[in-house]
Amino acid sequence: MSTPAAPTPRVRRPTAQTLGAGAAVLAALAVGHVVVTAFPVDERVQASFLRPTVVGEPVELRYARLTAGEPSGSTVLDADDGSLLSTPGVWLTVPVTIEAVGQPRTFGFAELLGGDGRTYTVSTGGRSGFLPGTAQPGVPRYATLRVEVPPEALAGAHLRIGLEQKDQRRDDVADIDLGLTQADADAWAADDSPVVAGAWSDEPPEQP
Amino acid sequence: MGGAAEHEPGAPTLGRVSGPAAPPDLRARARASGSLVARRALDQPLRRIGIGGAIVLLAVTAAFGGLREQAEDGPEKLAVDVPVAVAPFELTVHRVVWTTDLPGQYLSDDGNRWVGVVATVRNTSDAGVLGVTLQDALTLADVEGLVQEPRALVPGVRATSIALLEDGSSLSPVQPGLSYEAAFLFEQDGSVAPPTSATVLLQQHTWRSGSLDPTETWWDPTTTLRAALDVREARSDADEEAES
Repeated sequence: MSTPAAPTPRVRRPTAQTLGAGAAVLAALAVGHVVVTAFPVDERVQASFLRPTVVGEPVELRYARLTAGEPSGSTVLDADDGSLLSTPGVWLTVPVTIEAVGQPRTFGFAELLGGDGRTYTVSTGGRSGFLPGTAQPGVPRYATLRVEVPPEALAGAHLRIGLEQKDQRRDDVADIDLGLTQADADAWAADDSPVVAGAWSDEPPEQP
Repeated sequence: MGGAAEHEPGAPTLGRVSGPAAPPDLRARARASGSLVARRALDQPLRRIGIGGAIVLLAVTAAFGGLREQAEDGPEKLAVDVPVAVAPFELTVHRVVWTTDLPGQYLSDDGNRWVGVVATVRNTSDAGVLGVTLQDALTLADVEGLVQEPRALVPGVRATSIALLEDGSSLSPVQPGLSYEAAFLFEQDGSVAPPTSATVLLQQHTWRSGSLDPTETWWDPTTTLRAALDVREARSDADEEAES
């Protein structure tokens, strides 16, 4: 009894249709690459929605209404916890009023864009800090931001405040023109009377 | 039973196999396909495929600079009181001291002591940098009994805290354009004798986006300077005045 010969494996050759589909996919990828390279839109798509304002003018954000008060400065900061902090530059303090919209909001992002083109970090716990805690809707929250900078950074400085500490893409960010001048910088750099930056409060700060 | 089986004379051994590496049915399919390239490739013995692969791998790494001469021989020697650039900082190491008492700083055990590296810190980038990056920039080695354990990604032991000499506050964030006088503080077990020498390591960072997170930040602390420095007991200003 003879065993039947094993069938020869059939090899599928690519048809013109398959080759055409492959070429179309490659062409689409190439066109996509050219478009992305020629028109880089990623940064614009992901950019924050900057809401400009000035000192004393409330700005409406998606998540809160925010008002920056009159800035102060000195070479010594009273942290209102028994400690006085010195700086090789100048301490800048900005009182901020937060009125949360819709639900409790915890602000985690702030930075100062100096007039010298540099960015000054404001953390939620550190020498330069802004820690307003959680603001409840209907209860204005008062907090003071503090940041140390070289005097040359003050004139023309803008303060930016937002919700998320790590990611402000595609979200509202307040952009506050502090209205500072070189005269402010010179005066504060020569002043060693402490400016106070206390903890957050639901009570409005006392007016001097 | 047992005993090592011996090869008969002329029997094939694994070391002598020099036939094609591919299984017969795969080779048959390659022949049937009519592809000369596939047939030739599958007819090659394993050893030849291995050697060819190694040559290709070497060529690829060479194309990306793998055979280029090493430009750096390792960390340079750190000199005291000389400013050095270790991105994103400029650091000037002044001295290494030890003390048991520092106002505003708290040891985990009252019997322990601080080993402090006194340095001038300047952020040379165009944006503020958090203290965690500064902690990676200056580390300590060759000191017995440090309480802090070394971490995997940073050579040496990181400081427990970095305190400003002026007011004792913790140095973070480090703002650009300002020079800070600070002490990198390392807690040492009090049952160990105070060190007479310590190796200070300075690490440089690279600005890049992370592998998983597109946000750019300072990564890859790499030691570029190091030196074994003398360690002495810290003296207060009053002590130094009395001695002079």
